[in-house]
Amino acid sequence: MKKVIAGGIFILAVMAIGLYLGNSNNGKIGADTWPGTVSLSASVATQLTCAFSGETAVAFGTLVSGTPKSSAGTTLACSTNAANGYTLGLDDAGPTAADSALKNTTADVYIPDYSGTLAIPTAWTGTGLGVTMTSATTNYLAKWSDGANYMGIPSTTTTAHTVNAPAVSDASSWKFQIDVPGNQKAGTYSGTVNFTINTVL
Amino acid sequence: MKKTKLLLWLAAAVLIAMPLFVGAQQKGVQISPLSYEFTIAKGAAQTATLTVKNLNTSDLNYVAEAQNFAEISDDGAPVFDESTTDTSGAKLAGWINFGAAAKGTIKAGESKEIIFTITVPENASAGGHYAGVFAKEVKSLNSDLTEVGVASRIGALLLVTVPGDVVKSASINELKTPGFITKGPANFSVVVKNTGTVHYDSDVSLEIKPMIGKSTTISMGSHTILPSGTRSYTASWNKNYPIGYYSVKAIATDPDGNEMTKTSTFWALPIMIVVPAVVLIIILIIILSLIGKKKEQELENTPSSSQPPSQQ
Repeated sequence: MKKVIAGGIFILAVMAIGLYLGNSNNGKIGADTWPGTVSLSASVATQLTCAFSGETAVAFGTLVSGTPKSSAGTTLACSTNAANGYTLGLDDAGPTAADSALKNTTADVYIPDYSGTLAIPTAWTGTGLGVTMTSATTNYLAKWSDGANYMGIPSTTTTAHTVNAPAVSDASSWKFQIDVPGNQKAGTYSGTVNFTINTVL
Repeated sequence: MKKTKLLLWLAAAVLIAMPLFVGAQQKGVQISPLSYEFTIAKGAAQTATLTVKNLNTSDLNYVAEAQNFAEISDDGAPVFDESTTDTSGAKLAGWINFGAAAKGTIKAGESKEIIFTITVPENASAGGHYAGVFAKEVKSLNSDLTEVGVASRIGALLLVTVPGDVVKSASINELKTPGFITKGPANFSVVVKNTGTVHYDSDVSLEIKPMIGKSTTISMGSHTILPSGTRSYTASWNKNYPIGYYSVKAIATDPDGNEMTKTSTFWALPIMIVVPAVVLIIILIIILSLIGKKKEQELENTPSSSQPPSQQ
């Protein structure tokens, strides 16, 4: 019986010494003393990647007043490791708020913006160049009514979609629609809509 | 044997398709870093680098540009100024020089370092100055077609502090509690206002304390607040059936890292617990009163033991 007790005490003593030695090195048991141990460290930079798919140049063909034409759709997919996510703004760089991106290639004349706004997009009625969001991976807003409500594109970068978390291939899909007023100058029109993407503070 | 062959073919197909699949994902434009924060003295300059990678299979023509912003939306999106070219020299975008990197081409699959210099003028106002720095895709459109092009304009945010007579102050403008709830979760919101002249990151948390028992702390996160701007912080306390009177303390850091506080209260009476408890109490009262009545009746019906035995 005495031998069993002595053996038990011995084992406990060995365990206590082991624990003491482990803790005395800030928990890094033998890290500084064992040969062949290498400390590794790295820092990962924040990054944002965005890619378009679908139509990136929308050719509307010949426009006839009263017959609206739509694009097939453009999707922007973004990935970021930023903790606060990313935001997407649109602008058409039109010279005035009423002008769309589409400028006559031979004269200083623009096709107007559609009358719906980012705050209150509306079901298509009237003329101009408009855009709607048809779907989004996250934060799709009901105001777009599944792509039935359109807005004119602002002339200044205006936030249209924000994701407040890191994202992987987070997609938003957009569709353009156009109709011209009866007095729109005949000719060819072209221009660019900018999708401004940056991080969220 | 046939099965093994089939599996080998499948594995080979997956291995061949994998790079194609990965390649399909790796498209577009990538930038890094996403924000810069500098303190630059009047008359001094600071150089920074924005790395832009063209992941597409075609070359990318770009122009570098800067655009001011002075406020951010409640969800943190910068509200950019109208003009992309600031010539007044009073705002940050006008202090940025892209030099040779102002425009160029990034070959397919390659990266380019857009090096830009911020030179703060001597007459710059002390405090915070903000702008976005972008690589804007230059789209070449067919002039014979009526078409609208879609271009990416991807960039980083630049937060510059010009030292001097800077005011650092903030306040908690609002702490919203549910007031009265019958079940969880309880939703809270806090609004912090930067009343100073330079941006800062405010860390906000909530301390929920019942009348009896341990208090709970919920982190509401950290957000950058620009001068004169406010930020909303929201959080939910995911307790299914809170019960009783609670005091709530919002704790937010000010620009010097000190704590600011605002307190409020709310009541929680969960129907799921209160109604059955009240019903149970009523049933208990009824049962006890019935037992009491029955005992009374039994006592009334029992002949009194103190009555003297009848004499025969």
